[in-house]
Amino acid sequence: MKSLTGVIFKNSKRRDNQNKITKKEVLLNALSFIIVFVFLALVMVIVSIYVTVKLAEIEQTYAFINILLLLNFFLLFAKSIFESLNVLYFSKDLKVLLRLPLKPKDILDAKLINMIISEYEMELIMLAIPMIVYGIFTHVGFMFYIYMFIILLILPIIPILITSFIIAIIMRFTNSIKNKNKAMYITIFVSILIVGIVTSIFEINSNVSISGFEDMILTANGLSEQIANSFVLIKPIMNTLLNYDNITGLQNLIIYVIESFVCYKIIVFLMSKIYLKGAIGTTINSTRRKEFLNNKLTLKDFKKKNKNIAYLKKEFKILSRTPIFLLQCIIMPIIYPILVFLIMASFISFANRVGVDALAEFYDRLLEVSGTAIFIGIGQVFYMMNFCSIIAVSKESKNSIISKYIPIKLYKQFNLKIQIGTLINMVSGFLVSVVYYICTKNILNTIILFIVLIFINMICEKFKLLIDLKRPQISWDSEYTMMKQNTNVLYELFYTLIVIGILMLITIFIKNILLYLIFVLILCIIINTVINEYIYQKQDYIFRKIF
Amino acid sequence: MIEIKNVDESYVDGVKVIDNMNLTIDDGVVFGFIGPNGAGKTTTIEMITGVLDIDKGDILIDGKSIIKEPIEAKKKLGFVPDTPDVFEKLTGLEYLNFIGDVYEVPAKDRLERVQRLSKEFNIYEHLRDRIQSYSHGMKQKLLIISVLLHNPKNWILDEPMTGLDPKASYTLKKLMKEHSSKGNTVFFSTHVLEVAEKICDKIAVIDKGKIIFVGTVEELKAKAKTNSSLEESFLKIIDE
Repeated sequence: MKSLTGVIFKNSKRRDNQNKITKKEVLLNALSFIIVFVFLALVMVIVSIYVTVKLAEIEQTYAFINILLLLNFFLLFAKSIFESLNVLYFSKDLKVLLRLPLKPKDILDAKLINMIISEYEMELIMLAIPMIVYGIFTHVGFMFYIYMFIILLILPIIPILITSFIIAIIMRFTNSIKNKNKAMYITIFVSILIVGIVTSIFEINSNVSISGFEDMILTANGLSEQIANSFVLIKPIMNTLLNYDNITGLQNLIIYVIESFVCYKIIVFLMSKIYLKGAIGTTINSTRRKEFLNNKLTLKDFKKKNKNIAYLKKEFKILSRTPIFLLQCIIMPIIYPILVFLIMASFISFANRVGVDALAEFYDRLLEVSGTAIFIGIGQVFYMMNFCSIIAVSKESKNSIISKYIPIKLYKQFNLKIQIGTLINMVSGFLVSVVYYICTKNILNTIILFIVLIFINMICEKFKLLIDLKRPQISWDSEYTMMKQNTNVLYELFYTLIVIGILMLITIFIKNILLYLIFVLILCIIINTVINEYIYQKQDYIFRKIF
Repeated sequence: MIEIKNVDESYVDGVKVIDNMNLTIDDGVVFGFIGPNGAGKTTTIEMITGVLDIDKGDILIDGKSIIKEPIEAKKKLGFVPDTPDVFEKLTGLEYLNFIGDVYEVPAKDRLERVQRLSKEFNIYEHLRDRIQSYSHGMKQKLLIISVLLHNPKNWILDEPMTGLDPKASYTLKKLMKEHSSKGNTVFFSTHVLEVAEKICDKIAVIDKGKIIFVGTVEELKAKAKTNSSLEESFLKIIDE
């Protein structure tokens, strides 16, 4: 089992086309990765300090740990649905593993352990750094860090196991569906439903009314206690960290370790009884010959299209027919901004009802240049959440070499590949502009802001594709693992922070909103032209990693 | 016609995988490219088709340089890679239509060619299925049909027989012969020396990035001073 776990780990971690990379490139890649990682870690440090200070102001410091654990726990549940399905059932290595004399339990152990280990990268940035900041800020003792380390190691076990088990049960029955994509969609839908129900039943046992919330935030550390009491599954780890300096902490840690261990053993045992049937079902090829026999080929099947449109259609079909791509590249980028603005609106309305003018400070800022810069920054953050272009090459796996031998200029293909991402981003750009207009009631500024957002969108998508071409990930086991293990997202995040930094920097020198927008627009036009020229001149060079 | 002129290629600085290669593949011949694993066959083919950049030298496809006029050169060739990686989320028909659009093949020609070739290769009934449901051999057949769809003058095939059933393999060999007999070029790499012996008008042997023989099968046998099979002659030449 140990050897199998190692093989799966190495196979998923090693990058492509390494044999044509010089030592200098390896060093540069490592250096740039370190810079990006340190930069992101610093951002997390700043955010953590800010949140801790704000919570301390209302005497809710302890709530920081609970909120952090809760967010990560839910995130783990949500991610596990796709991860379990792809790693356990739709991974390319299944065909190899299933023909080896391995017990289902061995395959499950190896795959589940890899899934758990793969969460540690995210935990390092999302959990470890904020917790260390919290620890330093609140002057915790050494035991806090020891407990923290143990908790980080075992935290992903329960969410991954519960979700995998639900998926295994569903797959046991949906494997009879011959269309793999249909089976995948049904499984995802049913899993979300069940995971939602399971987490609601087991974790939330009280409803918070507006007056209750008001009371809660008026009591010292009331928020922290409320969270811990409401989410029983992770209550032990919350209690461990908050009581690290007494025996309660240790008791709770032991409870959670036992909980995780028992959960692992029982679920793996149960899954091993049903895993093989579902897994074999997904590897069987299926066709629908009968339907075709009544549907002969005619001229209608061969309508000639412009080659650019054909290329775009191909890109769109690949994205829309792969569940994880459809979700991350099409649905979520459209839903994110709508969701964010809806949450903001309900937050403002809630704050107003409890007598807090939550946006008073922000409204004042809106009349300044920095308010406009924040809106452009929000647009850029939404663009960052669209993965269309950052996986434009990687999503095609080894098929991507087709772009090298078809008679379409690489420059043209580059521009075609960013079209879908750019188009989808227009939705968030438009929404940001609408909200900006609602807040400022200035039509001229809004129009210029919208144009600026279009340019920022184009530059962002080009930059994302350049990252993917620089570090393509074309050998992968499943679409999900390719997306999850794609460290290129870090560079995208780094780019976003740089853009926001520049936008804020300009506000120091220009104090007039209209002037600011015009300046940013001109800057965007220049940058866009320079990037276009670079891509045109270096098209062969930037596609060199695709072979 | 394909001309490879003084071509060098290296993956790591200073280590040449192709060393000063010169090779001319004339029109009207089926040209076999043979060599042991790692000799440089796929690298050569990927340079001819524009998949890999060329470090030094040039490659001309019907007089068009793959470096200076890549689009014109690519229009003149059809390429079947060594692994049948095709966009799995598309149906066979959608993939063929995509290739037809890229190479601007008229709808009528597409219908006629797809019908004929898919029946010959026995995948007509599966064309409306997603490629992800195809077997290895079916994907290979689809790739071959997609290359023949735009009727290029130069066919370049990397290990084309891999995964094909006997009937499909026979059909492909027949098509290769027919294509070359019309004055076109067929250049393919293979490990199956019997295939090379049967259908090649000319062969080139590559080892460690260098062409060590160019000529007919009989000339190779003569050079190896053996009257037996191509396999034996090949092994003798490689050992030297």
